[in-house]
Amino acid sequence: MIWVAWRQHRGEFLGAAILLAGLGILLLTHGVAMHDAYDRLGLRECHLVFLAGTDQACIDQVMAFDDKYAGLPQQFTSWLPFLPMVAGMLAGAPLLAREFEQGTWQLAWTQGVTRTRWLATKLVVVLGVVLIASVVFAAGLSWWFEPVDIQRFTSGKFNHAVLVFPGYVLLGVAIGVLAGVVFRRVLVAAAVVIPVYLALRLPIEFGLRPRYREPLTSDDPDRIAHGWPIDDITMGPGEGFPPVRYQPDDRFWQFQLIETTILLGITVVLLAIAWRLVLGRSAPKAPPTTDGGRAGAVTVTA
Amino acid sequence: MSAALVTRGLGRRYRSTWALQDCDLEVPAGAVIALVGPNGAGKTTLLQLVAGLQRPSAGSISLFGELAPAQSPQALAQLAFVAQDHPVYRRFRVSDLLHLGRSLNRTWDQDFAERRIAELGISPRQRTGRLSGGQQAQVALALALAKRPRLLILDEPVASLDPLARREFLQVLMGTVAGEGLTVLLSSHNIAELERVCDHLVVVAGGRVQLAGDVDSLLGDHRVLTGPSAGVPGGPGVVHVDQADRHAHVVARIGPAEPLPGWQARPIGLEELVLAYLRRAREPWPVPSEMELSA
Amino acid sequence: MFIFQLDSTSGVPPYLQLVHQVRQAVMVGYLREGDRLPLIREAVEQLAINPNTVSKAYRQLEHEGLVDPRPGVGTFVARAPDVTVPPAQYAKLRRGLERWLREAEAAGLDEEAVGALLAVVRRELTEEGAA
Repeated sequence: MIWVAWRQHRGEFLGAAILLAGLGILLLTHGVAMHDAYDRLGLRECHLVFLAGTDQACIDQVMAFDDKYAGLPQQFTSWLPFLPMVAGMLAGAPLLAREFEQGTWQLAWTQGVTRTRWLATKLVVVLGVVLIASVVFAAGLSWWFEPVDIQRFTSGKFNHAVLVFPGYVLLGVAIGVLAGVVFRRVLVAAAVVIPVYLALRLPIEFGLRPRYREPLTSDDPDRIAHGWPIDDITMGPGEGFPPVRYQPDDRFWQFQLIETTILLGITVVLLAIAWRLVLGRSAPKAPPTTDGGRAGAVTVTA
Repeated sequence: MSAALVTRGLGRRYRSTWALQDCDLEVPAGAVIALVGPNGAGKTTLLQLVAGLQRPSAGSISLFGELAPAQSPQALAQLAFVAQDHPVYRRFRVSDLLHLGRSLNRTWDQDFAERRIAELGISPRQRTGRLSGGQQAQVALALALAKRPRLLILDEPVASLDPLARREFLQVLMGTVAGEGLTVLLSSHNIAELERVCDHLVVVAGGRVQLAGDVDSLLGDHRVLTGPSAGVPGGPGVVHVDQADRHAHVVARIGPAEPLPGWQARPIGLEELVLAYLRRAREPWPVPSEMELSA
Repeated sequence: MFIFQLDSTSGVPPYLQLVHQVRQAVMVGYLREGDRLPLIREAVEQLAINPNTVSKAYRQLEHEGLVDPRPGVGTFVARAPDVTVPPAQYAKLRRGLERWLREAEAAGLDEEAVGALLAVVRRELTEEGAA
């Protein structure tokens, strides 16, 4: 059954591999040059000073570096959050919807393996491949983004760390799988992934994420700037730095864990519903037939 | 002959409507059973229930003397199913489909499958999505037969095929039946085609079994009676009445008995028989009198 | 090998069509004593029909004494039928029928009328024979 699941999704896997390989090459060539320049110019030190905003030479250096290298990574951070959604549309939605759409579920379910094993293997193979690919990709992204900003707690870095990014990818795939079971049409299921993914992701990222723990308050710009300021910083001329609420930098992995747990929790719930729909409540209603016009007619001639 | 398939009170409900109910069938092993009825009559539901693709809302199914819970490995090992329009994975090569059959079934006859594909003149490297409808049907049949099932279930196997492909499909099917003593349950619209291949008949309409039995004895039991319309007989044996001004044709189940005086009897054909039961299902003939059917 | 044909529109039960074909073939000599009929499986694959139909036809032929099943080998034509028609006489009968049919056609009888006439005359002859 593993072979069958693999064979069925070989096309998607190959497509994803080509896409990731392409991105990987881009990322690697750009990343190596960027890391090189970063180390050569000793920008890490400068970056730290830059945050305090006092050393004009450093500021110029960092600005020049950002102009030269930061553009591409920043572009990526604007569209990469949609990649898990695309994974849901391309890998999740067809997983079961194509079986229902083409009628092959009837072939699969009348072979010698039980429906439970069939479904479990399909899910494990596809989710497993997706998980491995997304962890590797997230590790690459994390390495790439590293010199762009000294802060870890920016959305760009947080979203593509090796825990949260795979979490969103699994969530996207799970949405696709469930939509495929409910709607039984690949295109419909893929279309449904978009609003559902956004409806789940936006509240988590912008509503919940800042509140995983009670923020600290500080008026030390260095500490705030290293962490994640929650409030806007407004500072009039000649005023001291105002006290601002922020999430400290050392909560990064804690927040990663919390968000990943939430994502996996939703993923499990969605998959459990899909599982029940496929196995528990027995089979689907007879698939829609296209020959309604012949209803009532019994052909009696050859 | 032992029973290949027995259903008792079998029913399937979708929300509040019954797609099939009170279905009692007994099918002897080695028989070729035709399931006939209009679209939406419950044929596919019945076939999918037997194949374990759906769970019964009521009643039970036993295969070869054992109560077979849908989707149990024992049940799966004994049957093969070819769904309507013979779906196969379109991106697979033919050899991939055989690999699938081999890896998903404990009993699998790779030699048979390869021989069948070769006999069909299909290259194993061919993608199934590129096969003609007839070839795809043959590949689906080969896949089902290579499983070495005891019960083969086919949903409208020839409906989408051209006459030549249809004949070739049935040739292979019947050849296998003759060689292996396989039990075949198939649904179809095409009664003329069925007459050649089936020895048992099940007529389904409105979610209920209207008639079931051995074709020869069903044909022997029924007659078309023609007589004066004034004296149209009633009783449980009357299946359907076509009434004209002065005379009437009555399809009746009277066995070998002599008809009433004044009535002529002639043998019935399979088509006429099926149609009579389907018409009766649509508008049940009100029994007009209590006159006896036979003298 | 002998080849069967089936007419699914004739209304004659398929097994009877097979029986008739063997009888006729024996009568005119297309099948001779010792000839093997197709195996059930061969006939089934040829015609795409139910195997029971073929075995039923063979049983009936066996019952009539026309064929002789040898288990494991096949079914063989057992003997010439009671009524054999020498080919010459068969041809003569055929020519006579052809002449008669042409006359009937010229007189305006269509196929149905010819069939009806044939049935009537045959019944009268049987009744005469019975009386």
